[in-house]
Amino acid sequence: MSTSDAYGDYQIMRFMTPPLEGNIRPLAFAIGLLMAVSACSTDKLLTVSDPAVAYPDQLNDANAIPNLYLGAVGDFQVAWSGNGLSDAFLPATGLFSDEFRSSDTFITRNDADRRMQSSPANGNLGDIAYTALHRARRSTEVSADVITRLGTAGDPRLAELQSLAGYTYLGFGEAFCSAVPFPSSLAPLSEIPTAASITTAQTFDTAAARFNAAVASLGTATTTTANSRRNLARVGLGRALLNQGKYAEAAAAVSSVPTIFVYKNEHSANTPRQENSLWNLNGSNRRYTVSDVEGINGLNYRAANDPRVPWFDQRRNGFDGATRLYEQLRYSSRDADVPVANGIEARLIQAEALLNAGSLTWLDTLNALRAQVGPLMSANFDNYVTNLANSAVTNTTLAPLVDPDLGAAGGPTTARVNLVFRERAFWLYATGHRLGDMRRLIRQYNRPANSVFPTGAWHKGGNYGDDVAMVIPFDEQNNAQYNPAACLTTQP
Amino acid sequence: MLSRQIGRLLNLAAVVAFVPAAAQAQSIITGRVVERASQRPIPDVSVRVSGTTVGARTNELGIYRIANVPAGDVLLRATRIGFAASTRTITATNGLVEGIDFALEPAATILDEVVTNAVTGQAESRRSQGTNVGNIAVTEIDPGPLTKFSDVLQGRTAGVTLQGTSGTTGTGQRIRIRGANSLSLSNEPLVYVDGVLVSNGNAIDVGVGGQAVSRLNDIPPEDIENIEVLKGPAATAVYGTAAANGVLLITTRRGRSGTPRWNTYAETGEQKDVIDYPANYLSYRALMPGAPLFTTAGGFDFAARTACFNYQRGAGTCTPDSVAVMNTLRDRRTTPFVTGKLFKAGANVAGGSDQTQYFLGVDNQSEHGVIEYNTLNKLGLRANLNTTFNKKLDFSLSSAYTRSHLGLNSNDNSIFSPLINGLVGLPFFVPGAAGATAPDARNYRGFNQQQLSEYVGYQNINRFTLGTIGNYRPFEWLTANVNLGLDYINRFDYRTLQPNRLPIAQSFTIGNRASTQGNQFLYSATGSLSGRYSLTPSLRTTTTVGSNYSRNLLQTTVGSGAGIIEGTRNLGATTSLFSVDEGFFEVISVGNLAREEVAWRDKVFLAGSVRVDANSAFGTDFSNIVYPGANASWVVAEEPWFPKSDILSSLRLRSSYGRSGLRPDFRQAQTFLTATAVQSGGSELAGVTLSNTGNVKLRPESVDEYEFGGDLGLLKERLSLQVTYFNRISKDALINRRLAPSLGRTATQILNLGSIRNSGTEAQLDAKVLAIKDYELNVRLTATQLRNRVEKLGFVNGKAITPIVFNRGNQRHQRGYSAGAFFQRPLYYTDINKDGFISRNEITRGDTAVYIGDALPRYNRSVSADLRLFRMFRVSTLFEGRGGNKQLNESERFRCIQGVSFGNRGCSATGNPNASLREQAAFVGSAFFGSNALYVEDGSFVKWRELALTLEVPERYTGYLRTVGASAASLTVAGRNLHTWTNYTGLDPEIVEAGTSLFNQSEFNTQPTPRFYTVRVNVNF
Repeated sequence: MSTSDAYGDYQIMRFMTPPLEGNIRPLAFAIGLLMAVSACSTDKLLTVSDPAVAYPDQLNDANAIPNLYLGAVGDFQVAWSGNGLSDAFLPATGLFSDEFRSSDTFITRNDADRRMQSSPANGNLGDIAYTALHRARRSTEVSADVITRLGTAGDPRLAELQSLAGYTYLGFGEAFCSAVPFPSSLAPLSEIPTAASITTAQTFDTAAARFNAAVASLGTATTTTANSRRNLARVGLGRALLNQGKYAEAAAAVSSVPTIFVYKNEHSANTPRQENSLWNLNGSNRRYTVSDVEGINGLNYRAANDPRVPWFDQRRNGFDGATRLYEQLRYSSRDADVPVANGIEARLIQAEALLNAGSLTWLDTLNALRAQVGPLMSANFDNYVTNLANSAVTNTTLAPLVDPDLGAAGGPTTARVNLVFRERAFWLYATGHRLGDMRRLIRQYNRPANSVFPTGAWHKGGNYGDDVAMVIPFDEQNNAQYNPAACLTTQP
Repeated sequence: MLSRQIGRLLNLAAVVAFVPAAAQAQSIITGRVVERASQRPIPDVSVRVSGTTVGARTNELGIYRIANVPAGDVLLRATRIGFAASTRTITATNGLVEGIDFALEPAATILDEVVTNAVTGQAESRRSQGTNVGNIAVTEIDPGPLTKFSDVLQGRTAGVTLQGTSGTTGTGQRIRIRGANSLSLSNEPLVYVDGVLVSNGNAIDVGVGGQAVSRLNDIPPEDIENIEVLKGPAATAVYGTAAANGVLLITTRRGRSGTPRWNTYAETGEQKDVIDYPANYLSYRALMPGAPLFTTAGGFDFAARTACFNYQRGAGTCTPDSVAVMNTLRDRRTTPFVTGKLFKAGANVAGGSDQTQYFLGVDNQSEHGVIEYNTLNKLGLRANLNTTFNKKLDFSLSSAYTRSHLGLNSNDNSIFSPLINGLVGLPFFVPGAAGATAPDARNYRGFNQQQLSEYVGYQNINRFTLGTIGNYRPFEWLTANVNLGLDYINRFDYRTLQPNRLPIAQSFTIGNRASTQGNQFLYSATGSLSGRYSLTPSLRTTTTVGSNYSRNLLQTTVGSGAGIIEGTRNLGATTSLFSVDEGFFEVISVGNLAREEVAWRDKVFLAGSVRVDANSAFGTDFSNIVYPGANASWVVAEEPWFPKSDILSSLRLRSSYGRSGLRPDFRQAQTFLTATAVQSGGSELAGVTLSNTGNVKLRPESVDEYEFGGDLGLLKERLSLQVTYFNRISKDALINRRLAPSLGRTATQILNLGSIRNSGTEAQLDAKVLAIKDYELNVRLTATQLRNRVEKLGFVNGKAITPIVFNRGNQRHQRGYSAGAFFQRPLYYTDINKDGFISRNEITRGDTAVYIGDALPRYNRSVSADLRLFRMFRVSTLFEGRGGNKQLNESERFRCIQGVSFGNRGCSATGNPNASLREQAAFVGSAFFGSNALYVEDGSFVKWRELALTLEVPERYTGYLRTVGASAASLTVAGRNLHTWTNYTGLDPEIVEAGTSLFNQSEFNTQPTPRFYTVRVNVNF
């Protein structure tokens, strides 16, 4: 019989399968087997040992302090001046200010250079620095807490981490709008804390508190390392106070810091994360080029022929194929170290304080520095002598300055302030100070923004915008207490 | 003759190896299956003893032979796609039963196909399944236009959307079945080959600009017999965690009893880039008439001329006196494209004894793409063995080995992409130096072909897949199934750049080397017991219990260095910038399952299942998850009361519900720190840095789906219509929540917060338009309507998660919209002064980003036809249409903006005086108003995918073939990607950059799909 009748299938099945009563036992057997299988523990089967990572519980121990300390230092280096081609704090603020121009095609770099940032949702250059600074802030504060709890008293690593935390606050205060929030770094990792924004002034207060804590933690220790870390904290404290217009207090904070002192981010060619990102962005990948009188108000970093800003013409265009590439030679390799704080800055703080105090000795302080330009630059920058010789700069010394308002009474006249800030700009070129100084000129010396920042026609078409501060990233809106409307990027 | 001798040896070996099994045979049934009208033999018909796994397939002469048939009355069922099933009841006795022949009627229905569940190991007839399972009979597809495995999936069945992410040889695709479930995890289906869970990975660890490869394409189409597509949780509940995106069950070819049958083929072809690339433009004004283009230093002489871009012209700030135009990618002097080559050849042999059947195959493929240094060489070996020891025990072995060598040029977001170098090229031709082998680099964005050919990423694959399936039936009612599988992949990714080949950063000029060696082990094991019993004569049940285990282990060693010595290609020859790392990935899954099926009179089927899964990737506070499933099927037309009608000849109603899941990814639940090098005091020391913010409560995404529909046979089964409505919703969707940067932790944390819904309808119509003696025309239409919607993104601390913005701010996941929808601030433009140019003053922009359109296609349709004439000619074709979605034309946006940045080049919008107002506004809006709204275009298209013309040697001439030992031969001429109909103005609406991304729908310097022409010869011995 051949059939397409589907009944046939079930009809034949009755021949092949035993009746129900014969299958009670098999059914019970199957159910029993299922229960037995289900009862088996799967824990051992599911065990995965991951050899590549460490868990927080494993690091809450005194033995972990060296790794935690170094990790925090590394996070700070990344945030300040490191990590491959990353627009860390130092390069990003340099581009936003008059130190560098964009020779890139990337929109975020062009937008930052022309001070016309996009809405946070589109992403901006400052997002990288903002995120990295917060990571460094948390990392240094968490590691400092572990040392406080589990380490020994007076450990200079504690002071160093507290100071580096303080520098992250300085970075936020100098670069970003007056609305940065700071959730607790010490909240358990199982929790997601939130925090409201604080003002720029409050941010500098917090920075000062970190520096004061660092100084205090060192007690009376006088080892070389302790002294160095104390100076690191004091320069930071002076910088925080200077940002608040507390000139005398700032000068007092740094008065004992030797001029030859320097604390550096140690960069390395070992891994991309450790590299000096400014060198990558400028000399190597050609995204940034050294400015010269950028946007009318910018300083003449190239034309000044100043040994503090060695540079040379790469005789080719930057990444955009259109903008001439001028390479700075403070950092001439991917492993060039970056000074975070130094005695030069201490003297500059004192000079500005003297000027504001009406003293006429402010110029002497500046000239004392200028007289030591070779040794000081060599102490602060790797291979300085060779790099200067390879640069377009022919001057090797600096002539003494003359008071632009010679004969006038002491005090911060416009010309004198300009001179102090110019000296700061050249001494502290490409060290992450210039944007903060330009904003200080507006905030503390009542300069109009368009007389301080680059303005007018931008070199690739269109005009400069009005931003004087970096915008807070879009993702910050996931912090329930943050109000993006408070971030005013045209305010100093 | 040699092949015949080899075949005899293979048969002999099979018989000798399994003599004891043969001695236990009960009875043997043989017969022949023919087409009723023509009496033509039908190969590949499945003839099975109903209710058992005992059966065989017919050979080319339509002959089958089944061994080990239990004695007694048995029902034989003969089924094959394209024909109505036929059954015969016979009485099997010990010994040989001959002449059990079948005559099949052509039909479009597919109710009687059998699908083997890869988890339970049980054969399930389609009529008993409450879901719409897609079936792709690969042996029925003309292989001529198939260049790789993924071509087999394209446009064949409703509900499956296959998106070729790139036209570069060796790159992969996205497979989406019924939409996209997850915002954060893979939306790719699980893949089983002959019951073995296999990798569908896409990793390559040297940067090639975002292109992805595909391990699925390791499988030669020639090895595939059939693909079953389980479309979602309603069908995949017993597959558990990781099955929410559907499951592909791939069955490779098996042997048949009888004399060895050799199939050989050789194919050669070409591939061509046929895209109408846009030209480069520059409107400019000469400042120094007659001055050369370039300065003596080699740079563009900006002092001699100044660009006058259209937007400046519109503002009246600049008036050009010249327009330069050149199509760098099409100009024969500068084009990077060549005619790609394709060569494939292979052979396989199938045969065996009654107890043991084998299939052995070898396939070789050699290809270079439309960029000459994009190359692929692949060798595939397959050996499958089935043996029946006795009526209680059978065993099958599947094994496959793949060796491939892939060379990939950069594309997508890479300055080393040949496309970007042409699309942002100068609109002037710059002759190369005398004797140069490539055009001057200044014709391009930065690099010519000679330079780019030095920067090729390679991937070597050695892959071995092994699977064994054993079925033991201690009693007639009880079957034990054990299925063990291993998919092992050895991967070696590497690239060497010799010194002074690419004039860019120092790490390039000094040369560099990167390499990754990796081993992946994907183990799978399944054990199940299945009991069948009859509760009443008309009611039978099947109870299945089982366990399932899988382990995915990946270990890689990654190294790189720079400063390489000329001519060397080894990390040891590098001198600086060293980097070394090890990668580790391990996920283990364990599941227990139970399934109960009830069949009433073989017309009404009910089934329920439950699976309990645990997984190593779950958070420590979450232990296991339960996946229930239920389905019902009712073959209504076989009810006695159902009116018999030629118009509606069969009807089945079905409904199904199921839940399955997607596990979190490796380490997502863990908070951990990783080591980092830090220089301190001049020494390199070890620090630790936070690398993931975990979530101890992390659990899988669970996806619930219900579907219902019907299968209709119309016009005496000439038409088969399947209609299905489905609705699925994912709960606890893993949201890669962006953390506030102020936390100072990692950028994201995975939380179970979201919910995504996919709903839609599928229809598939199979028509036997012609089925008379020498004429046969089969047509298949598929249509899918899909609606995807993010139901919620969730709340944290009482505050709604902000939309997840990605793809450079152009796309976002936002509640109430399709996943990955395009949002931009609207642009309004008008040519106020009617000068034909859009200046910045003639555009305004809205302040708030608004919805522009979906990224996911809303519909997918295909038409395929297969015409056979005079038993000699075969013409098959396939058209596919997709749309309802938007695509970002990032290639054009980028090159316009880059051109202006360069100052000496550009696109039509910036330099063509006849550019449309819209394209000008798109540029101005993006460059000066920060909105890409006008670059988001309609991504709908229709593609003529395939056309194949095959000539088979007529029977009357086969005598000539026999003189060389051959029995049949055919010649196929085929084309693929023959035409595209679209309103999209970019390169190709189908391709996307960053092929591994989940929702990115932008086209950005990605190689468009090339056109293939092939000639193929098949010879059977």
